[in-house]
Amino acid sequence: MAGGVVVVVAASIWVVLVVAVMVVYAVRHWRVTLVRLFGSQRAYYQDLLDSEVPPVSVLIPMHNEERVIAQVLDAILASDYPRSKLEIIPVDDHSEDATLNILESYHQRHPLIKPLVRRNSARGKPAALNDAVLAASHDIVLVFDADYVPPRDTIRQLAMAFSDPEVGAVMGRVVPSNTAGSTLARLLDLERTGGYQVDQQARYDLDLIPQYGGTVGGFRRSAALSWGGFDPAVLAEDTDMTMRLYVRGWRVAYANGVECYEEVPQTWDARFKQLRRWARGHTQTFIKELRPVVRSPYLSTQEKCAAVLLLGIYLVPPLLLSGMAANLWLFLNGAAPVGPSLLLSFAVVLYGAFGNFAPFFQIGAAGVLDGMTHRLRLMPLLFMLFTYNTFAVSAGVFDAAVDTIRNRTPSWDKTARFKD
Amino acid sequence: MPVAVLVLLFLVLIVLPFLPGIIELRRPKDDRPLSIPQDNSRHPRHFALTFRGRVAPRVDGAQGPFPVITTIDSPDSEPLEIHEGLDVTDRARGIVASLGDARIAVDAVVDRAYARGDAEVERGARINELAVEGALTLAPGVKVERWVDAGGDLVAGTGSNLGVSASSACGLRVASGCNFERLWGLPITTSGDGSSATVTPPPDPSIDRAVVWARKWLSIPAGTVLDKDLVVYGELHIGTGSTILGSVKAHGNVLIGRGVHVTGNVISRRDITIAGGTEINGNIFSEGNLVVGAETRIGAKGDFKTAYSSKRTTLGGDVTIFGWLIAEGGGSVG
Repeated sequence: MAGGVVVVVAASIWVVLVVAVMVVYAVRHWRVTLVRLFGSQRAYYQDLLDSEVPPVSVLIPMHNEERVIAQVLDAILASDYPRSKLEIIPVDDHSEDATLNILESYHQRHPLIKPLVRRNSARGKPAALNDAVLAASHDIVLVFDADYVPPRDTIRQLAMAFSDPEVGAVMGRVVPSNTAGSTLARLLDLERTGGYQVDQQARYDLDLIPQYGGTVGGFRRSAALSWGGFDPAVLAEDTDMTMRLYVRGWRVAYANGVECYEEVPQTWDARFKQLRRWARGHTQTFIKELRPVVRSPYLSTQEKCAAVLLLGIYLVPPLLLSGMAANLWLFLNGAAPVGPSLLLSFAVVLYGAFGNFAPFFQIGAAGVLDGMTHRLRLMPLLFMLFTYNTFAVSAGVFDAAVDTIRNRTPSWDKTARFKD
Repeated sequence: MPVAVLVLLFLVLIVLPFLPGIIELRRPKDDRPLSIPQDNSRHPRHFALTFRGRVAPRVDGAQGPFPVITTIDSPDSEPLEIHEGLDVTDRARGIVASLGDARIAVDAVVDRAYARGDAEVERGARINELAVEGALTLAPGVKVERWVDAGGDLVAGTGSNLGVSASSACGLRVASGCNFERLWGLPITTSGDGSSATVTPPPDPSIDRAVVWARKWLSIPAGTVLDKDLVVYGELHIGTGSTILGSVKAHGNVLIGRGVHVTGNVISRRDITIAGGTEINGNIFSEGNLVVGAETRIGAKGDFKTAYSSKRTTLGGDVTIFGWLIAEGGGSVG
């Protein structure tokens, strides 16, 4: 009997904690959205024109990218950045298709393209980037994934962020290109819009840890080398770099106007794998960087809270699932999590009205800022995506927990391409 | 029966929010990727060069008798009136062009104009857009609604309003009392006494040590030479005659004393105030106001830079800026 009471109390406390976490994230959603809609927007460095631009190394990690390699190289070669200040390092990471042949052909015609071939060392983006960073000649390093097509002024606009001696990394905005590919692609288009147009920009406005996203962005080579480069065991090398930079006093600049197309998953299976990998890597970083973040002398209390919320964001879906399970168990056993009261009913209704709709509000606001029209009608269908995400993220968090317990090194699983 | 109706009503209400989305999926009206311009390249004379690109070829090919009436290459095929020489005394509507010089008389109004030669705009005239290949002189009190651009020198008289952008491929001289948003010149120079931009230099600290560091502020004593980048979480004061061989960034205000030399960039999350007689070889980026004291020099010949402020910019007299000046909240001289 006493044991049963303990379980009921524990389950009740757990439910309350989960609700508290959900409320915190809902408040965060509302805050960033309202700031983006009505607050003053922080300027980025795109207007800085300078006759002396810094030399830049552009890294393009690639694995079996024969279908997309030409478009990214052609786009970078067409950049308005002075060629004398540019080197391009495509990293052929264990490709088994014609990637290497295409790279060599480009190298013959354009000596500033210096392919780096990896065959013997471990595969994966962090390891590939480590080799590329060592091969790079310049301190400012920009990274593009192989399926990206940067517009003409992208390199200059990203590089200008490093005029600020405090900026350790810069991040542009990615925009899905294959929106007509499938229902999933259309929903991911909405999700990305909310993530960049509102969330990243507002975090930049508020000094709440805008994130380096690993592509359409860059970092200081010297900073990365100061801690020995990327950790090949971490799948979210971008989040890892973001936290390492902030912990050491650097900042990340976000360039909302520096936009670049990317391909998003068109199938639910590819999406599940991608999100599972992200959640796994992000949670690895949470475990690794939480303590340094909390102890960093360079971060204000507000920044530390923002960093913890950013690191913990992938823990929310499994927390939610566990909270729902605990609640269901309490309900079936005739025990409410806390005593029924008018206040509780009011809180539930309030959260139903505001908390549950916070992400929808964020995405809707982003869509309005982007001038979207009919596609906003898809927003209720995001419910389907969010539900699916919950399970993919929970699987990734579970993977990360097992990685930590068993001291296991995860392998890199590249997201499938859909370009014809 | 009532139960069936209730169930049906329940199902309808459940499906209703999803219905517009389902219709959009079946008959897409908005499924293209968000538009990203692929060929943009930032240029401070963008407006003028685009306008020239449309008008100049027509002017080059124009043959008399004048005026020649034609159209330019634009989505609306706008009419263009080409004269041998342009003398606007009242109002010129639409686009007018001159094979030679142009004169816009006192209180005249011009929508859009182009001149192959020089142009002179007299007191009180109002211009929407004007591009000239030669020199451009704006008399005191001229009002520009959008932009003016000159291939030669551009001189703006006292109290002119320079609209959204005033640019010159050569020098741009701005007299006291002028208002502006964006200026481009190689260099931009100011004239006048700059009295309203007089800056009180920060007091030089009397501490013996070379650099004083605190979590919230940093004050660099007069005459210090520092060869590193600086990042300060509070205010930054740079004492008179100091030299910073690097870039500086402050989360608070930046106050730069007289005769300071900074070889890199000066960046602040708040206001930047430069006392005067200062030389800055890098860019200036202020998320607040920017005050540039008299006789300050930014950039160098053959090495253009940008001075940017999110709010207001005030320039003193005899300021020289090689490159671009952007005042998002408007700017003025003196």
